[in-house]
Amino acid sequence: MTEVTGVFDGHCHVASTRFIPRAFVEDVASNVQCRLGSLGAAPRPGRVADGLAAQHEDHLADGLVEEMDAAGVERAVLLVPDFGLRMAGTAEPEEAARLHHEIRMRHPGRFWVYIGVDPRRGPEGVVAFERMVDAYGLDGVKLYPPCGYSPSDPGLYPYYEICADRALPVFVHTGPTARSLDYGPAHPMRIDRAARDFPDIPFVLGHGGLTHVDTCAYLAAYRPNVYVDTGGFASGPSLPYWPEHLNRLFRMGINHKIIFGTDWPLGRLNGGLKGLMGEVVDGPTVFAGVSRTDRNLLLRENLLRVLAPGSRPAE
Amino acid sequence: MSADAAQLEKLLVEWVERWIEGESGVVIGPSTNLSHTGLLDSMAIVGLISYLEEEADAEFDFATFDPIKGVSIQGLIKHCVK
Repeated sequence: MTEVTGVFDGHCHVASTRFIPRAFVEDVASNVQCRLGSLGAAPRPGRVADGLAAQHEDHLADGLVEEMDAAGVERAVLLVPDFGLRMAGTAEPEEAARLHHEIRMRHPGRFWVYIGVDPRRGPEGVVAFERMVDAYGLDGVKLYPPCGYSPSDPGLYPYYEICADRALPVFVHTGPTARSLDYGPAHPMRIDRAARDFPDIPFVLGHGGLTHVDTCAYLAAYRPNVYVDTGGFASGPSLPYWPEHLNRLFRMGINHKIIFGTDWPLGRLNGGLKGLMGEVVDGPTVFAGVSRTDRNLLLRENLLRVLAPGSRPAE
Repeated sequence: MSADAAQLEKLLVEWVERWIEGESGVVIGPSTNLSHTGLLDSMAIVGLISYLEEEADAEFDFATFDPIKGVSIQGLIKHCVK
């Protein structure tokens, strides 16, 4: 068996109710309930949400680090969406940044942190963002357009100016999500104007290797600063055979623009990171016909390329 | 193994067989690794656990369940019915 070392996971979250709203969990549970109900197997209402919520008690990321160690994942990006203006009950951005800083201090050298912003927070939000970046050495921005704004919203441009100055990447959720949020602003084409206006900022299309794949692939192929994330690859209801899907993705000629990510804790019950990484790295399908050079780009180097020089680990 | 546990195993094997509709080509048994690629996804595992809770009249503690070594019917029953 090949030893798995040196993999970077470009898409993780701390599985904590401090950062993931209960309303979001309930939305996810409702889809599970719907699918199970269609097969006459629906559990009692609320049980799925309770079960999912119970898996979000890893407040200090100790469980995640344990899984990373078991899976050979050296380091991961922690994404911190700002749900605050749409879903209540989670830490406000500055508190979330502080808590993630504590997590980084607890697990040195294991995490990058991309903090969530929302253009509707106004000038105060921009000032707070710059303060957070200075205080905690944050590594990037996380956008969650389904909360109700376009990633090309002019209200985001002051944030982008700061990102351009500091060479910070912007990670943008694309595609479907919780049922009560907006899918229109999450279409990947919504990034196009911002990507043209800020050619020096790397924009990473979250889940772009999973949904709207053709659109994301041509954006990545033709916009030099647009990248594609694979997060959620093992959890899409239409992708029970995800190794074949990833293999097709890795044969589209954009391996220099794809960043490997899992979207942990999504799929945690399904064998965890170790199960996923075992199939990705040692399985017969995912990298079939993919060169060793490309594999290194996908699992490690592409993420390093989008990070600011100061965020990259010392050689 | 108690008769109750044996009955639960049988019921859960039947549930999984119904779910996969014979498409996987894998023979399902109590020790089959259900998180094996292409067999059950996370949604289905949550559904299976909910079914187990109903049949066992017990609550499954998700917070202490460790899926890293794989998920099997035997393992789920052992964790749920203590």
